[in-house]
Amino acid sequence: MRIHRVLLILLLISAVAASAAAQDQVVAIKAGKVLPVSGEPIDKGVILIKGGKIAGIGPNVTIPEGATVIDAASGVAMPGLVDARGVRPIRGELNEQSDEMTPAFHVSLAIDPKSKLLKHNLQSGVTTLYVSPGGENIISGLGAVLKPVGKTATEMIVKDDAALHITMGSDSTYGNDIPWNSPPTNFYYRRPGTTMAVAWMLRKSFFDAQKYAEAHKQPNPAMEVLVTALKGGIPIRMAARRAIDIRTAFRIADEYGLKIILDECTEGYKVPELIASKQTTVVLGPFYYYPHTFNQYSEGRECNWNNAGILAKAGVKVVLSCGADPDAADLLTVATFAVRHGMPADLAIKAITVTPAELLGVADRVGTLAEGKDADILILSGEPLASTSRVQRVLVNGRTVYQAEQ
Amino acid sequence: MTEVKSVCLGGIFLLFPLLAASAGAERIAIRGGTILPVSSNPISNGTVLIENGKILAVGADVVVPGGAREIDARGKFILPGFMDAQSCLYMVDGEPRLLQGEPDWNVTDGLDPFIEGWEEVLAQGVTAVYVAPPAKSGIAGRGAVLRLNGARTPAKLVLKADAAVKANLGVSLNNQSSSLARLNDYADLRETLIETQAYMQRKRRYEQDLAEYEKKKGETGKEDKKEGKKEDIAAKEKKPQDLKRPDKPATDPAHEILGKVLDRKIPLEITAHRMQDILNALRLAEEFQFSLILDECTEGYLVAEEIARRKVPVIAGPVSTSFAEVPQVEYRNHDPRNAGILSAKGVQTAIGVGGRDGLSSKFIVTAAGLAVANGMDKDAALRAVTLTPAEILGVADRIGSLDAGKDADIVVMTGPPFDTASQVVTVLIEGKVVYERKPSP
Amino acid sequence: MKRILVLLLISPMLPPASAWAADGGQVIAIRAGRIVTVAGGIIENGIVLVRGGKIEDVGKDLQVPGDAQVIDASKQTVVPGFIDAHSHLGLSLDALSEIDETVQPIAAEMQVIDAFDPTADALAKAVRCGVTTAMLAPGSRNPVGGQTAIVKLSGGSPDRWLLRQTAGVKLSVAGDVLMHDRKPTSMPGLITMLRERLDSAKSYTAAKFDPSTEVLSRLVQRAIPAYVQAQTVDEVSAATNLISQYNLQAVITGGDQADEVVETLVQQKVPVIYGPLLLYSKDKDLKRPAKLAGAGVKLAFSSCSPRTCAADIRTSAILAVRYGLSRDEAMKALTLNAAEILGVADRLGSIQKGRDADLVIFDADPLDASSRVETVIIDGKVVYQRERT
Repeated sequence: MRIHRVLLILLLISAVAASAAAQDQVVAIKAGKVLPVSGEPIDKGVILIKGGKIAGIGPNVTIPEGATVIDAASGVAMPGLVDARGVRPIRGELNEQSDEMTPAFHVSLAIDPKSKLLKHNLQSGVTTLYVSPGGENIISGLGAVLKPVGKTATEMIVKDDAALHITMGSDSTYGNDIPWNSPPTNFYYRRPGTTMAVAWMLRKSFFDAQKYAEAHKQPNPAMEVLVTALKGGIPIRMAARRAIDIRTAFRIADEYGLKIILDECTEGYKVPELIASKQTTVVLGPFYYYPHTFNQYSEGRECNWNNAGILAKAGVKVVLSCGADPDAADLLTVATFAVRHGMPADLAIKAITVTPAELLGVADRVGTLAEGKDADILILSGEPLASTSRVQRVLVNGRTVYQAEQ
Repeated sequence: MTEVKSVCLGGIFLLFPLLAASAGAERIAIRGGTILPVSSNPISNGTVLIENGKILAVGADVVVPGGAREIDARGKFILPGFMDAQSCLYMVDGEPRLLQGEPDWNVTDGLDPFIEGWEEVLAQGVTAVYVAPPAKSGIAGRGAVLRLNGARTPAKLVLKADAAVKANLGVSLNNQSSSLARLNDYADLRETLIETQAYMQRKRRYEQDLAEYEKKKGETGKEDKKEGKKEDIAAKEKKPQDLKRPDKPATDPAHEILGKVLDRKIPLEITAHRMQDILNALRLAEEFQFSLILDECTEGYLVAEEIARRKVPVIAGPVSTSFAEVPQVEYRNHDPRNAGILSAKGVQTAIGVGGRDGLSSKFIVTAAGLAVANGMDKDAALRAVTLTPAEILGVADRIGSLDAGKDADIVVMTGPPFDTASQVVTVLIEGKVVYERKPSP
Repeated sequence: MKRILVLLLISPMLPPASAWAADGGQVIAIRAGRIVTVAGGIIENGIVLVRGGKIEDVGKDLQVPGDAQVIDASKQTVVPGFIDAHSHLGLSLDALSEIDETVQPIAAEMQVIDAFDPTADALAKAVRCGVTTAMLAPGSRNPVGGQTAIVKLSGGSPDRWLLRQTAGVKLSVAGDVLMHDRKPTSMPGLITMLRERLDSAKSYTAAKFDPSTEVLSRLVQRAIPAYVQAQTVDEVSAATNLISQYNLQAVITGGDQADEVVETLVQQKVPVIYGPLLLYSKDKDLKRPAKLAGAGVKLAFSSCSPRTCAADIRTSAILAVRYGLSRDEAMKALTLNAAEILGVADRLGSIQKGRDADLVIFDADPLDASSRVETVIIDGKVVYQRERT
């Protein structure tokens, strides 16, 4: 009995020592196929991971002794997906409703490390996502890039205040009301009530920001953000669904000399040359097989399943995203959908990996499988664009954070 | 008696190989602990013998037959499973509390046996709960006693259906408390019971009339046969004018149930906080002669003698007013010494937790302990969460104390029930071990 | 029987103000089976000597003056009076909205003492259960709710019971703070609002007097502490970020999931006034106070009365002990830790020479539910004595 106890203690000690050394532990993934995205697919490839980064990748990489081997012989390894408008793990409201213009709203302050949507992202293979503020304000604020792993928001954030959000269209008019017989009782008694007013208020904000830049008495955080945006110091993402709103977005951007990114772009297929001529990257999504209800606020009435294909073929840089909707199709399904309806397959794969990584300014770390990059890896049971393929394992910073149940 | 027992035991022992194969024949002996039977004095170093899901014997000198599975309770305490008579366990939580109900609404129609957290309640030694429809105004419906036996269907959870019909006095439909509401509630309840009386009368008259009709019909038929076939037609033509089948009065499920209340087959449990409402409940019981149970009885301490005199049992409301969902006015004169005062005055007092969450039942023993801290007699407090609620709700023949013949619903604890350090190690329901504490790593 | 009932009812009624007249001479000697000093261990079969409202001495074999009123607690336990470190006791009768001035989100100039009724029944009920001091706070529905106060539950004249009129400032980042029809509606909006206010407090000068900003300026200068209501992990993180960003002296109240980010609390030395734990808390939540204390966080208990009764700080402690908190830590949480967190440890929270004579005598271990309060002494006067039936 005593001997058994001693052995047990020894085992425990060695286990503790082993976990302490885990940091330097090398992990090797032996995959049936490796898709680096930045280069040709590698049959029977090996990915070596050390210290959370990719230490080696190729068909003939030597696996050092003592390495933990993940056998994915029947699987396909690819970069963890990058969702440029991901499902948001936040708690509470996504808009500060008290004002229509909240440039200094930091979505990173709303991140909830206990959100169930973190697992939602991992299960879909997403390892980096951009979290945007809501769309119910005209200028809703600043989004953040994060990885869906960590105990606190600070641990999760890769890049804070990564872009400024503007919503064209009628979202911000929703709920604004002028009561009939009573005096205004709350802040919803306000503009805008129409699309024209949305455009006007946006112009006024930029105008005021320019004036502020020339001379101001008191520092104003909201104005500071707009000034930075006007100077091109922070990416501007404008959400516009209808062709009307897409045109308005470009019109205002031109007036102020801005380079913009278009989000949603539901009717982009109507104006592909316009978008291509501006060399604007487009972040499509959310995708539904059926359009939203036909009310004015969804503005999705005239969606076209071939949207992604048409834009890609017109030379527009297309990114595919979940459009921040947990009920919409997940990112791999979105890519399959796009290909089925006309988008070239290689562009579709890029549209959920390296292209959004470049858009978000984190391509030095994620988006492809290459030495030195973060070991954010997705292992599927088959080709990514095959709808029968399942997510088997997800690694973030070299650690397995999701594994499908057998 | 002992000799008979020995003979019987001997007989069972011979049949053991056969019985062992059949389910429920398992014999268990819990030995060596301090037994708190509740119905009688504590027994040191005692044994509880269980067979076929029932308690066979309890005592210091119980003979344990060979082959019985032994549970070592040395240094531990053996008690009857605890009961919360003011529970909402198994009722789907998160729902807005309905402010209205109907007399025939049955709580068993809305139970969720898989409700999250029921195992945590069981792990604290609670083996039975009384649940009633949650309406806080008017007549809420039919309550039932349930057991935490892990059943997968509501029906199998039920130990006793229609244990009581629940009603409320004092809180109105929109969860307001006001003098007007109080008058209204009392009048409404009284009117409903009067209507039930009329309904029962109509029913009884119908039954009488029907019996007479059947009798007369039978007699006329016999005459026909005597007079022969020729007379049949004439006889038939005679009947419609003289004899008419009485019309059956419409069945009203609500009045059917309340009829049983008036016949004292089912008690009426009235939730009342303020003294006026408590006295109104007592008055109603006097007028309609139903069997009354007072629930919560927040200001009961002000009229304890009245309640005792009328021998009305009380399921006392929570010792603490955490998260009370009724208007604060109802709880204004809440006093944690209530249960102790009622009990000291001779009122049959059970303790409930009155929580808004099913998990509230978990710490019913702590609640009883807090009642002791606020003056209640220790034995009465333990009884208030075991035998007394069983007695009040008519299941004391089955549970509530460690007595031969009762169901083996038993808790084994590491120490006296009111000590914070005492942990529940084993729980049995109907002689089956349903919970065993895992040793801490 | 009726007499006993009447006695039971009037026993918690406190003596009128006149009885509180200076009575410095009277000495009380408590002969106790067990004295839990909290600061200096447990003394078996000892004596506590009280004179002039203070503890004159505590120990074994003390000389008891001949004229002393002797309280025989030889089979009982004496502890320091419990402190409800975050309470709304005596602040509202029926409406909890009495403590949330939600019309204006930043209400730093509100003083909770203005809503306090020192004669409220709830105080007597709390005293009967061994609670002798409470920190009163505004509610948690305002980002800045107002100024907290520390009071003894003894009644009488304010110079007796008012310990601190402005003990600190109540802040909240907890879910209740977010509104639908007024600012702030979102967490980022809330944090931005607080940052803006704290920024302007930093540059505040008396020349442009503004009562609200003046209070906040004392906060950023660390002259008074902040009590920040934060419950979920993201709320606690938001609170600790704010505390660190503005270098505030601060305490977390609520702290339901604080154990999940305990490293930050330990590193920033932020205490937690926890709770309340409820009779329907889940097992996994009941284990949290033990985890906090185990990691080295200074823990006290809150009743958020009337959400739970002030007396329920003892219930919280009992449940916490049942799920892993040591009895020593639990006693500290109810007494000395609370006093230290509130900055009144020079007077309260332990039984030692020179401290206020706020003492409670229990008939058994105070951390067992069924233990009864026999006697409560505040400032050296017996304010409650249980009737022996």
